[in-house]
Amino acid sequence: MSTSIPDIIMRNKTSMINHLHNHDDSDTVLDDSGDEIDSSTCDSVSLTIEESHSNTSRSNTPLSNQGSRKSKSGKIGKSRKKKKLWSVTNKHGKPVTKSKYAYSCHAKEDHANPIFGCEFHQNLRDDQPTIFATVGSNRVTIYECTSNGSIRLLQCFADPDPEENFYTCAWSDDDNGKPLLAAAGARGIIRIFSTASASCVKHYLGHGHAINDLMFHPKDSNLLLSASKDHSLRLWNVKTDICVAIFGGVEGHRDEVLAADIDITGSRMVSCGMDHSLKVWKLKKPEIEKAIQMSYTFNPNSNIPFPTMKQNFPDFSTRDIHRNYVDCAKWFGEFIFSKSCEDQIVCWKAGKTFQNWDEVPYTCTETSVITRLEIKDCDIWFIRFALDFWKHTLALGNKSGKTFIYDLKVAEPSQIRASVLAHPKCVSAIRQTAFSRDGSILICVCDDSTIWRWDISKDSEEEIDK
Amino acid sequence: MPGASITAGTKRRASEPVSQNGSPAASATNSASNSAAIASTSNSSQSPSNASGGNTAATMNGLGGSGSGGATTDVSKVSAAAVMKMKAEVYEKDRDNFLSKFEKPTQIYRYIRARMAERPIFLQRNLSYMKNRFSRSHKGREGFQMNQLLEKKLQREKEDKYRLTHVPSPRSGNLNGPINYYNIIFLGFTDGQIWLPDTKARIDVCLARVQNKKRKDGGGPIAKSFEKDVDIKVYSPSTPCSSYDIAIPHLQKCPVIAVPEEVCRIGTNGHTVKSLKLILRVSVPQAFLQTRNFPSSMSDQQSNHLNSRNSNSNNNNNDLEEPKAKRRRSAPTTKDRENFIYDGDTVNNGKLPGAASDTEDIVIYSGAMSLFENDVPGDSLRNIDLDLHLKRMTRGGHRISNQRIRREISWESFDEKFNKVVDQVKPAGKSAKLCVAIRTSELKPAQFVETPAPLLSSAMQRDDGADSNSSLAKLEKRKSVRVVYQFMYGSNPQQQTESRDDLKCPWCSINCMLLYSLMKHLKLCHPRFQFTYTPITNGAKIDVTVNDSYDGSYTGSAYDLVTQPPGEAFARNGPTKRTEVFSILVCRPKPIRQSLQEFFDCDENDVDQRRTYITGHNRLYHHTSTCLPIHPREIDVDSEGEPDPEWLRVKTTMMIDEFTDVNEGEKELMKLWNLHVMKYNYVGDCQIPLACKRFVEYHGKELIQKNLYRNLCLHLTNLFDFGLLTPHGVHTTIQLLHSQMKDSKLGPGLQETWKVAQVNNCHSRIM
Repeated sequence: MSTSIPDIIMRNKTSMINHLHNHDDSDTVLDDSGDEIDSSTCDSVSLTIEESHSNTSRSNTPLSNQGSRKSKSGKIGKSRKKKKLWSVTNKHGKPVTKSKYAYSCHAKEDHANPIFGCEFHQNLRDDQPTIFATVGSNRVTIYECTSNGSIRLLQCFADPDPEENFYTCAWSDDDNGKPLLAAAGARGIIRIFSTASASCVKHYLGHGHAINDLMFHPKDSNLLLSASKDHSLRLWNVKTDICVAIFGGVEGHRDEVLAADIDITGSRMVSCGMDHSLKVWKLKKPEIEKAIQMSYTFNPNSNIPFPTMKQNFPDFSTRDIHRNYVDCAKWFGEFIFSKSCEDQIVCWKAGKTFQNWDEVPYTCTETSVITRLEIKDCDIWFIRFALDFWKHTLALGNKSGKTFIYDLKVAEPSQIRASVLAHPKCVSAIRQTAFSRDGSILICVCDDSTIWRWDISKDSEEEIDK
Repeated sequence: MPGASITAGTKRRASEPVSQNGSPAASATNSASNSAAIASTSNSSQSPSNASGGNTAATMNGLGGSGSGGATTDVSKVSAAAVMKMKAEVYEKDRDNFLSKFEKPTQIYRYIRARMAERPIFLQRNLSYMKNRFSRSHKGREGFQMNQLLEKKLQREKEDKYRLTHVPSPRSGNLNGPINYYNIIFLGFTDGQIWLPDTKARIDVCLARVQNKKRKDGGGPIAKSFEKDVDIKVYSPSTPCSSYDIAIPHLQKCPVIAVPEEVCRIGTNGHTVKSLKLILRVSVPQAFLQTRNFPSSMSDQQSNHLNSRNSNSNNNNNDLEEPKAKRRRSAPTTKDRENFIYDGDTVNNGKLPGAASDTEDIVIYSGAMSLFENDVPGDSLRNIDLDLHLKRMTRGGHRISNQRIRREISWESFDEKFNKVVDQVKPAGKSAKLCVAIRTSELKPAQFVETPAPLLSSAMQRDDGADSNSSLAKLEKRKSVRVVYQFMYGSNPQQQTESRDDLKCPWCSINCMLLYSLMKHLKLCHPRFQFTYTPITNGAKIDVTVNDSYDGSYTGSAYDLVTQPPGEAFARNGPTKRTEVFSILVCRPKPIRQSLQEFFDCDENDVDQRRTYITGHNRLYHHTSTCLPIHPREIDVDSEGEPDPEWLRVKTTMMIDEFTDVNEGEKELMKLWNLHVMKYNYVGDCQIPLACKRFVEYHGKELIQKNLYRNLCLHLTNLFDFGLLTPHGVHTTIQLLHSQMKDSKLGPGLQETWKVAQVNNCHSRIM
C-alpha cells in the first residue's frame, strides 16, 4: 500500500488527469450563476485514510483503495474495478468499504460567514424538484438540485437585522401542501417562510435565547420543535401560532440545548446539550396529546392565554454516554445515535438492550451502548450528522472539511464502516450534512460559506437496488 | 431663480427632501447655475451662519462651495493645498454622515405618506392647527334641531319624486320601490368641432365587472356583462373650441339605455365583483366633419381656463344652475373616479386629425368610469349626473375589445389636480364631452326619454362657504411665500432646499396652507426631526436637524411588533383591543394665540413644555413562565400567581418518594401535608391550628382512604411536642376527622380494622 500523501496527487492535475476524470476545482460564487459550477465528478475517495492511520491508527477507520487504484492506473472504467475492490481487505483484515458518493459541484455564498445548517425538503414528490435550504449569517437560502449535478439558487431571504445569525432550519408543508421553511438562530426568533409567497409569513417570539435546532413533527406537519440556548425546548403549533409545550425546568437541561430529534412515530423525543446529558421525552402522553389537541381547538380570540404545558420532567435522562457537549442526536429505530465533541458517535438505548422504551421506568439510570464510532477532528461543537430517510446511511463532516459516510445497513453494529469524502478545496469545518429523500444527493455546508454537493455514484445505486 | 437663494450645497425642489440616492445627481441640470450662485452670493450665505455658529461654520460653508478658495473669508491664503484636501475629506465624511443620518427618518416619513394616501387613518383637516383645510361650513348645523330630521327627509323624498317623474315610468318616483332598470340617459355629446347638422354619433356602451383583488399589482379579471349601442345627435358649437368649455344644451329626446338591475348588482356572489365599470366609446363618421382646421392658439386662449369656465358655460346655457350642478357631480354615494383611457391623438394611420379627408373613417372617443369602488359592498348604483370627458383614440375598431378594458392603476400623484388642469387645456377634437344621467326605474323605458331634471345638491353652495373660511389661507398664499429648508448636520448647514408658493410639507405633501400650520405640522407629525423657524423676507427659513432624543416607543401599538404576519402595523381588519395608554388630549389650557413665535429656537419655551401627558405603559409585556408576548386582551388575566406550580408539587412528591428512612404511610402524609402547606402558604407558627383544621377539612377523606389516621395523630402530636399546637387544637382536629369519618360510608369498616390493629398493638406492647 502506498503511503504517499494523496493530497499532493490530487492537486497535481496533470498527473491525475489520466487516471481520473478531469477535476476543475474552481470556486464558484453563486452570484455568477450556476453555469460555472463544475459538474464533472471527482472521485476523491478516502483521501484522509493515510492521515488517520498515521495519527491514531484506529481499527475502524476506513481503508484506502487509493493504492490499488493507483496500481491499476490508466483504466478509466471505474465501476468494474470497484466491484473487485469490494472484496479487498485492509491490513487489519477488515473489509474495505468504498464511498457511495462522488463530488458533483460546490458553490459559495457571498456573506463569508459559516453556514450552520442545511436541510432538504423531504415531502416533495419525485416529479417535483429537489429543494434544499441553507442557513448562515442572516441569510436563509433555498436551492434546487438540478439533474445535471449542479445547484441553482431559487430564493434568498436576508434578515433585516444584520446581527441575526441563523443556525438551523426545517421544512414542512402548510395545509395547502405548499412548502414552509422554518429558520431560527442567534436572536431566538423562529421565522416561518412560505416559498410560494416568498415571504416570512410568521414569526415566534418566546425563547429567551438563541435557537440551536428546529424540527418538525414527523406525523403532524404543524408541530415545530425548537431547542434553545435558554435550556429549554418548545413545541409550537405553527398553524394556530400557539406554543403548545415547553420542555425544560427542574429536571430539564442545565445548559444550552444543542439538538433534538423526534422519532419517526412521533412518540418520543430526544434532546441533548451542553450539560453532557441526553434526555428522552415521551410525546405520546395523555397530557401532551391533550395539549396538542387543544392547540388546534383553542379560541384565538379568547381573553385567557393558551395554557402552555410545562413539561419539567423528562422520561429518561442520562449523562453516562458522553463526557462532553452533545451536539447531535438522532433516532435510529429504538436506538439513538448521539455525537459529542469528544470525537465519538455512540449508538445506545436506555435500559436493557431489548427492553422496549415504554418499559423503561422513569427512575431507570441504566443505558446500553450498542456501538461507538470513533471520529476525527470533530472536537468543535455544533457539527451535526445526518441520517438519510431510510436510516441506511449516516453522514458527518469534520473540522477539516472531510465527510464521513457510515453505511448502517450491516448485519452487526460493529461492522459499521466509514468512507471519507474529501475535496482539496473543502478544508473548513463542515457544520451540517443533509440527504435528499431518496439518499441520492448529499449536501455539506462549511464554515467558509461553501456548499458541497455529492451525488451517489451509479454503481452503488445498483448495489442498493440489489 | 436659484441665484437668488442662499446655498451651501446642492439645491433641489422642496418636494424632494434629502435622500441618499437622489443627492449625487441632484444638480445635474443646475450645477452650472449653482456654482455661479455660490460664487456670487458667498458673502450673504455666511451672514446667517456667522451669526449663529462661528468660524467653523463659515469655513465649512466655503468648502461647500465646490472648493472655490476665494469664497472662504477666514482661512488665510497661506493654508496649503494639503489643508484644503484634508478639509475636503472631512467635509466629504460629514456629508456622508449627514445623508445617512437623514435617510432613515425621511424614508420612514415617505412610507407613512404612501400609506396614508392608500389607507388614511385620520383626516388632517380636523386638527386644530389645520383649520383652514376645513372647507365645509357649519351653517346648516347652526339652527339644527332634532325634530327637523323627519322634515328634511320628507323634503328630500319630495324632491326625488319630482326629479324622477321625468323618467317615463309610472312608479319610479318611489325610491323604496323596486329598481329594475338603471337607465343611462345620454343628454348630449360634443367634441368641440363643428359637425354637419344631424350628425349622429354611435355610442358603444359596455358595462364591465371588475373583480378586485387585494393585491396591488394589477386589477382583477374584468368581464363584460352588458353591451349595447345607441345613436346620439352631435352638438356643434358655433366655433371650434375645447370640449371642456362647452355646455351642451340638452336634447329634447334623449336616447336611453336600460341596464337590467341584476347586471349591476355587486357583491352578490361572494363579494367577488367589487366594482362596475362603464366604458363608453363614441364614434362619429369623419365625413360629417365641417371644420377641419384647428385654431392653433387654442391653448393660449384657454390658459385661464379654470376661471373662464363657469362664465363660459353660463353664457352658452339658458339654465344657469344646471351646468354648475353637473360639474359638482352630485352623487354622494358613488365614488366616481374617472379612469380615462389616454390615447394618442391621431386617427387613421397616423394622419393628423382634421387633415384626414377619408370619408369612411370615423373619429372615436372613448372613456371609462368606475361606478363603484370596493368600499361599500352591497352599495347600489344611484342617480348620478355626469359630464364624461372622453379621449380620442388612435386605433379604430368597431367593438370594444377586451384589451381596452383594462383597469388602470396608477399612483395618484399629489399634483393630480394641477395635471388635470393642464390636460384639459387642449384643442378641439382631442377630447369630447358626453353628458350622461343615470336614473333608476321600475319598468323598461322607451328608446327615447325626455331630459331628466338635474339632481339638486347642497354641494353647490360649497364654493361660497369655503371662500370665506379659507380667505386667510388664500391671502397668505397670494403673497407667494418662500420656505427655505436648511438641513443641518453638526451645526453646519449641509443642504438647502427651497420651496416657493407652496406650503406643502416636503415629507408628506400635505398642503398646510398657512406657515403656522406648516410649522405646527412639521413639529408634531415629524418628531424625528427638529425644526427651528427663522423669518426671512417674504417667507421662512426652517433649520432641520435630526432629533437625537426621539422616542418612538409611544407611537403605535406595541403589540404590532409581534402580530402575525410580521411587519403589519395598525390592524386594518377591524378593531382590536390595545394596551391601555392614557394621554390627555384636551386639558383646556389657557388658549394660546397661534403665532410663529413658538417655533423660534428657544429651549425654555413655555409652549414647548406643554407636551402630551401620557400615563400607562405602551409596552409589550411577556408572560413570566412562557416568555410569550401578552396580547392586550389577555392582560387582565393573571397567568402566574400560584405559589405551588405543578412542577414544584411533582418535584416535592418525587423527593419525598426518594426517602429511605420513612415508611410508605409517613411518605403519603408528608406529601399531603407539605403540598397543603405550600398551596396555602402558611408561614407563621400562629397559622398552624388553622392549617391543621383546613388540612382535615380538605384532605380528611383522602386520609381515611389511605389509612393515614394514625400517621396524622402522630403528626399532630409532633406539632404539640414542638409547641405549635395546643392540646385543644389536637383534640379539635381529631374530632373533625372523626366527624368526617362518620359522614363517609367507609367509616365503620375502617374503624373496625383500626380497632383490631390497635388491640394487636396493645397486645404486642403488653407482651
